[in-house]
Amino acid sequence: MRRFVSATGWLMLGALLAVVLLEVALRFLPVTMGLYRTQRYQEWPLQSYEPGRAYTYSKSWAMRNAHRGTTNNYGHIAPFDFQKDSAPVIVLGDSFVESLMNSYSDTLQGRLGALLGGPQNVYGLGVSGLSISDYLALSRLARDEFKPRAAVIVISDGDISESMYGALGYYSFLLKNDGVALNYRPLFGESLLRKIRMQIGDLALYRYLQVNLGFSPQHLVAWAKRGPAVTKDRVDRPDPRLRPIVDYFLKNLPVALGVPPRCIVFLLDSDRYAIYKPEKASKRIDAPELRNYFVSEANALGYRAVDLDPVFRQAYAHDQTKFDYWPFDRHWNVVGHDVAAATAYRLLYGTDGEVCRPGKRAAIQ
Amino acid sequence: MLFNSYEFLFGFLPVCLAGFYLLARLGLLYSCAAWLTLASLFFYGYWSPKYLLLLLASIVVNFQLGKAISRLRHEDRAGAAKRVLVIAVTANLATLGYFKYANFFLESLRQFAGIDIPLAGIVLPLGISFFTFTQIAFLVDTCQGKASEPRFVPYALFVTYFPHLIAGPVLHHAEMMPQFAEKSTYRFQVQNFALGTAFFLVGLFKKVVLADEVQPFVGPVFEANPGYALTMIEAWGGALAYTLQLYFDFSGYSDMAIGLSKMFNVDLPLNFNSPYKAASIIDFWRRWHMTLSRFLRDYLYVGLGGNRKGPIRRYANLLITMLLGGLWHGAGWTFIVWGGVHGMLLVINHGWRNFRSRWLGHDLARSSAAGRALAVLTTFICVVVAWVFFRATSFAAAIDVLRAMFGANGLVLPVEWRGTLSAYVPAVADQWTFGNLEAFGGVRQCLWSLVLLAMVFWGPNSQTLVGRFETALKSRGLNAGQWAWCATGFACTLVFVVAAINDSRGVSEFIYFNF
Repeated sequence: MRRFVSATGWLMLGALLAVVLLEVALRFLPVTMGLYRTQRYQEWPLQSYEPGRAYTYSKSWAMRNAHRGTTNNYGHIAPFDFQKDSAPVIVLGDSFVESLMNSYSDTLQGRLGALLGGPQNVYGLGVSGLSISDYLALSRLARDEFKPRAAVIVISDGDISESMYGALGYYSFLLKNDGVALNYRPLFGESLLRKIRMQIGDLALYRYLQVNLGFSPQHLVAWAKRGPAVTKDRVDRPDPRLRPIVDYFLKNLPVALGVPPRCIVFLLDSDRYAIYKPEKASKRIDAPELRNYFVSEANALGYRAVDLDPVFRQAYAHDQTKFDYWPFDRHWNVVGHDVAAATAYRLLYGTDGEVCRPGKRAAIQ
Repeated sequence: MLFNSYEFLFGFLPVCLAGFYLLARLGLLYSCAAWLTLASLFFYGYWSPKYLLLLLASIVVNFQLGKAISRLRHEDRAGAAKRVLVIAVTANLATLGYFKYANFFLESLRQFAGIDIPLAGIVLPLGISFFTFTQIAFLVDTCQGKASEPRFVPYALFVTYFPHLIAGPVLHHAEMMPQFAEKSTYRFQVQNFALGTAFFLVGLFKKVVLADEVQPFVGPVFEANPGYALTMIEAWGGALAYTLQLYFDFSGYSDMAIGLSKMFNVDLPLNFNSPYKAASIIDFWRRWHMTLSRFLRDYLYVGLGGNRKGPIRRYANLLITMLLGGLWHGAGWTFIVWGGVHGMLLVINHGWRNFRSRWLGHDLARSSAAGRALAVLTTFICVVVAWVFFRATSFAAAIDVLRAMFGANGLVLPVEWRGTLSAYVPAVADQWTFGNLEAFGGVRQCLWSLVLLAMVFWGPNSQTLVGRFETALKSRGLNAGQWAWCATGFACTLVFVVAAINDSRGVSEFIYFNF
């Protein structure tokens, strides 16, 4: 028994030494850390992360595309604070707009800000995991807070279909007999783990395993519970329930934003890997039919909606430069954001666009 | 089941070890061997239960044939023993031929004779080349009186022992059976366990962090669209990346196998000894896949007459051995050509050495540092060029890559470099052609390749690393057992992190599983 206890003790000591060594090493490396979802639950996603906190972002085990920064007063990724009632152009979207993997000046909002005379004219309100239901809720919050003059909304694959999922902490659309309703499953309360993390800071090793490697203890035993893999539905034909949802979204958005359709641009992202190599095309979550429906309905209602696929194809045919971090990460790089910004600018201000110009210039912080 | 998968690391291995040492503690040594055999069969069957029957049938038939050969020898009927051996080897090669080469021959017939024969729907059973060769070696050794195994379980364990079953090392009966018979093998020895874990960790790191990280630079070159004209940088970059990937992948696998076996107190033979540091092709084959080289030498080259029948026969034997060695790796002309290229290089190498010693009077044992560096570089370049055939999906694809490597499509620099070059060396930038190199990973690929090249040329190999660890284990002031437990805890934690890295990228098989 004594030998067993001794052996276990020495074994644990060795394991602890390895953990300490890894922790020290990872402290010097850009492990994703410092981003905590806001606790102002009712204001999410206008308030995104905890404001004014230093963060580090990187992707994958090799910590690619590392970026460091500080969240602004609304917890968004921007090098300046947002001002109430500043009448900016707002850019809504998911992780494509949040754009943690790019420098701010290389993002859609950064590029558009430069085209409009200053970065503070454009606010990027991107939060990873959002869908069109969240965009509608975010629009209302942004209208009341900023009184935007125009909006650019990036619709990436899955943004329409996922608006029906009803995940905890997110908005979703509910189909009822009398139509569509926006629903929110609020995220309340503070876990003990979060309290500890907020108080003493993250353990780099923990964050590396959890975020960079996407590890969870369930993975260890997942092989034992072999069953059909749970994946998001990828379909050729759209769910018929999605059309009323698109209609509801498009009908209610101008009021939610307080912006006329003329000053709202939709940029529908495409499967760029299919442009580089047709055999690398992936099956879409939002069926092509649904995307086409979205674009045609939006344009019919006076929005400026564009499918970026032909735009990307034309640009790629011209200089063969990729728009993302192929083959590791589908998020746009500076080239992708540049194409999106140029397209958004053209659609907003190409003809007849003075009404969409950002109003009051916010003071630089 | 893959050594780098969670199911192996956190399911199979702990259960297998626990069962083995529990039975050993109860003094049931024969049951230990049976347990390890059953576990190995489960390990194999986890991939495809269908081919478990093939493996079992192969073991049973070869065991019986081995017994028959042994009995005939003891009855002084050497001629009859030889005849049974010929039948046994033929049966083994026929099975291997059917599963591994049937489609290749049909395809070749279709191609060269223009006969429209449908291909057979045969799936290559995992590890068939390894378990077939292991058993052929056993039968030959039995016929020569070097081996004899009358008990089924130890024989089955020798063939199926999971650390080597799927991708080697290719084992000799004589180096394994005495270890299985040794009582100390069945006693848990924490020092061996710590060494095994360390070896496993080094192998896992090689596979997951080094081989898999350089692997994305290989596919775009060797699987480029047919119309795409590879440039010199892309072709050399891809060939070099594959050279590094293959080494770290296969030597990583071998290290993991050696480490796993060490956990059971069984030493497997080393399979690699810094092969890219070789100063000649002869030297390379003494360092690369050493157990296969040993097998080919002992059972094929020597069998053909070796160097006993004059220089011409010796060179012919070398060529035949390497051609068949190439064919062993895969059913395709590219593998045969790869073997042929190495055979030719060996012939040239032997001829050159002969010329230097006989006609120039050089002392082959002595060389200057510069001469050795040149020899290592020349050998390495030859090996890189030959790997192109090994990796290419067709002979035509290999020729395309080689043409590009030797400048047929010109030397074009990546367009991303133009800005930097224009800023620092405008004269060079003005002279050069820039283009979009689709199959080149840019600075990242350059850095990875340089780091890995530095490791293969100047870094210690696995056995040196673990050897240092072993020395440290024995020389500390601490109690050796306590130190070993501590080291095991340390290594197991790192194994867990590297396994999590592997899992974050999805399934990644070992290259040699294809052979």
